[in-house]
Amino acid sequence: MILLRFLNCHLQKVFSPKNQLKSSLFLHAGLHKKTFSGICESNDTVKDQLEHYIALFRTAYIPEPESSAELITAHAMGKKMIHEVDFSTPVTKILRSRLKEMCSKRLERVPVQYILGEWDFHDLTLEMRPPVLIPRPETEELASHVLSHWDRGYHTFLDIGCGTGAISIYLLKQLPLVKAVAIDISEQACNLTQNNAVRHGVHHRLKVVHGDIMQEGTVAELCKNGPYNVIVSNPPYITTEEMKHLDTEVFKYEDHNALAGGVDGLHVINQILKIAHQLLCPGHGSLWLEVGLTQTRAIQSAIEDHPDLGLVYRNAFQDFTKRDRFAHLGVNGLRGHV
Amino acid sequence: MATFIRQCRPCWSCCKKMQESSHWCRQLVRPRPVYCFQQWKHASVLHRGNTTPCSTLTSSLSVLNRANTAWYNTLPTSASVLHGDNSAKASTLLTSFIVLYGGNRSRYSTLPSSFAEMTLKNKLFSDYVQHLVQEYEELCKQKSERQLFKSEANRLYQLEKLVDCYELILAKYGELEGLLEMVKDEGLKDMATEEVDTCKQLIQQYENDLVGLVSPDTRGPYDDYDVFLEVECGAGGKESMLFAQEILDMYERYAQLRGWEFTAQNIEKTEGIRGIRKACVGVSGQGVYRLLKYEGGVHRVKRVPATETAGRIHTSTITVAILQQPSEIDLELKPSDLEITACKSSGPGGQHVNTTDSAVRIKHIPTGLVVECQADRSQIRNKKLALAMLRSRILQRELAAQTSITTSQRKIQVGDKERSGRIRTYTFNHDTVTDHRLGKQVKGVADFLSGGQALDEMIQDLQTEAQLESLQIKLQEFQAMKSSETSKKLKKS
Repeated sequence: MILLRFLNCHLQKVFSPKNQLKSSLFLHAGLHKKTFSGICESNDTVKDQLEHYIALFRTAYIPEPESSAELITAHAMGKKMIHEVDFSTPVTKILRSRLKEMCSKRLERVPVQYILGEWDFHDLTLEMRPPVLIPRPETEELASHVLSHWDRGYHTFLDIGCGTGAISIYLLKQLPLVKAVAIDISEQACNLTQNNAVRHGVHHRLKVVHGDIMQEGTVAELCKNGPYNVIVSNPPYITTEEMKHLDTEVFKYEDHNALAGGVDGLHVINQILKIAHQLLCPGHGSLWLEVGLTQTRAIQSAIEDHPDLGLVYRNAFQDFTKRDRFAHLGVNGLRGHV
Repeated sequence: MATFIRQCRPCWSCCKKMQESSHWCRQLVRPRPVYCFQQWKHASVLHRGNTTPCSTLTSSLSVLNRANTAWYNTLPTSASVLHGDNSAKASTLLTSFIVLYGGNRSRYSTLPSSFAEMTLKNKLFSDYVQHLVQEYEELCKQKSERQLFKSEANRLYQLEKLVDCYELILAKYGELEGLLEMVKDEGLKDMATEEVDTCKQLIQQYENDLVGLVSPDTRGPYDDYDVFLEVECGAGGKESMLFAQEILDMYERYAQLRGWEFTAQNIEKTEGIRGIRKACVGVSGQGVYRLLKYEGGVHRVKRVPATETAGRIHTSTITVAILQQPSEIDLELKPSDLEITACKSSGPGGQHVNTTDSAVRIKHIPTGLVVECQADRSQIRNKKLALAMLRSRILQRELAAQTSITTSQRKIQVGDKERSGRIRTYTFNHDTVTDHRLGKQVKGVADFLSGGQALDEMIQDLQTEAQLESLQIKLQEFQAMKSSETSKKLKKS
């Protein structure tokens, strides 16, 4: 209901002249019903529109109101960032309606990336489509770590839970002689990865598999394509308890299959650890995981407690907040390939 | 003999052959100086890729040999000069002849103020060149005795070209002297005058080449670096911000013209008008720093601003800074020295939150420098850009500390924020752009601001001026060295 009210008021404001924008929202909506006749003759500039939406988002308690409004405005003008936009441009009818449409989605807490339909991962622009998980800045770091530890002799990798395909496509772009397999439980994610791979011209080197790594059949299929030099994964790692406190953007719009990692958040991670030694090249394969803040320690102890996993814990890497975020594991040389 | 000479034509663009032939020349000079001279002539003509005057010269030479005995007197001298046997003789020859040909020499005994005055007629310059020739001979002697160090070998290679060019000029002067003698002869006057003109032209050309060779290398170690170009508004409020935008546009178009990449890093726009408070853009491409390094400083504008209602002329300023971008290898930053703040710094991070604010702020703890970047949607890209900016700032700081006395004396300075004064004024009501370092004025402010040819010419002029200045500094140093030497000698005696 509250949401509806905001939406309503915002619709009216779009059609109101610019000099009254600064007046209080509700008061304004009530006072100027006359001007809201459908035909708009105001000489708004992009800047006025931007300020209007920032104010609107702020009153509606939308997270990151400035950044949201700026990105939407820039996108509507065919640019990426707000600093590329000329603020003094007058607003055309088409632009106005595009802004209105996109901002009304934002008022429903749709993540900006889904509204724009695209987002950047390193220097790539990838298509984003709900409910496929939007790559986070941490995942960019994960991809960088994998790349900086890439051995010249490596020629293949596996991406478990590829989502938008960000990690795979970035690595394939950077490593032109490498082939990869990407797997996701969600069919939508698989399609999106395929689309993005085509968009960046790496689809010839990327095989997208739709399947669940909990199933033995899927693991067998992956084995058939393997063994892999590297496994990289950004698995779901949020605990059931933490799932309750997620932001609306994440909870309502993103795929829970890509987020929820069971009671301890390690459900999928444990399965990856279990199958890793079958998939990795014996002797020198390595496994990269992005995990929750306390989970690197859990992984370390799991590996130390279960030598039968055939893995060794190499080290943890920190994210930009200087907290342990990435786990780097290797194949135990003592145990042969099964 | 003649056929042998023809086979052995030295090529001036190729040093090796030159050396062979000069060695060969040494043996030949005494018995048959004419052939030798002819060979030089061939060489000079061939060098220019012009074969037509060759035959005329040869024919005129044979006439000359019969007609004018003066040739025989001058030739051995010039020949001996040519292979650097006797620099004292060279000096006398030049002095006597150049005075004859070039007129008042004393006028040029002071420091030359332009490239046009940088000729052998200028005593200081010719002394300096001879000093270099001596150095060359010294090195040659060393070479025959022992293995040269790498730096010495490089120096020798540099000087070799210079000495070649110098010898060529001396030969030409010798030729000119003969030709001038010939002009006095009625029968040969017409042909000789023509030859004198070509000869003078060639001398002019070679002198230019020589100046180029003598000039110290102005290529700095950072010339091929990419740069950050910073434009910041200064005195003059909104007018200054408007002008800052115009200057930024000018450089953007210039970058387009040059085929450089021009990427906005951080632009603080002014509200309401099309102006900027501060902008930082990355410019990358070939020779970016070399061409832009003299653009840094205070740019001043005089005009009736668009914001002015009473029609008064305002004077406002903006600052441009050109900062080199060192690569990761050139300047390494320790992760422990960096304090990186991103929007998503607190909370669980990762999959838990979805942010769109990708701004990154980095503080370099040892220096306290802070950079921010919000140029891209990808946070990691912003971080990379911010680190590049930080490296650039740190390098700038180090360079400022290193600045030596010689550079602080210079009129044309490499621009950064702290040191540069007012460099250029754009006067709209007179429609002129004045560069204060060159003292040069060009018409057409709008054309200049379009970042096209007018700006390019100005930039090229600055390059030349900077080269001249560095040569002048060399000459001054040489002068000081010489005067101190003479004073020492005086004291001893």
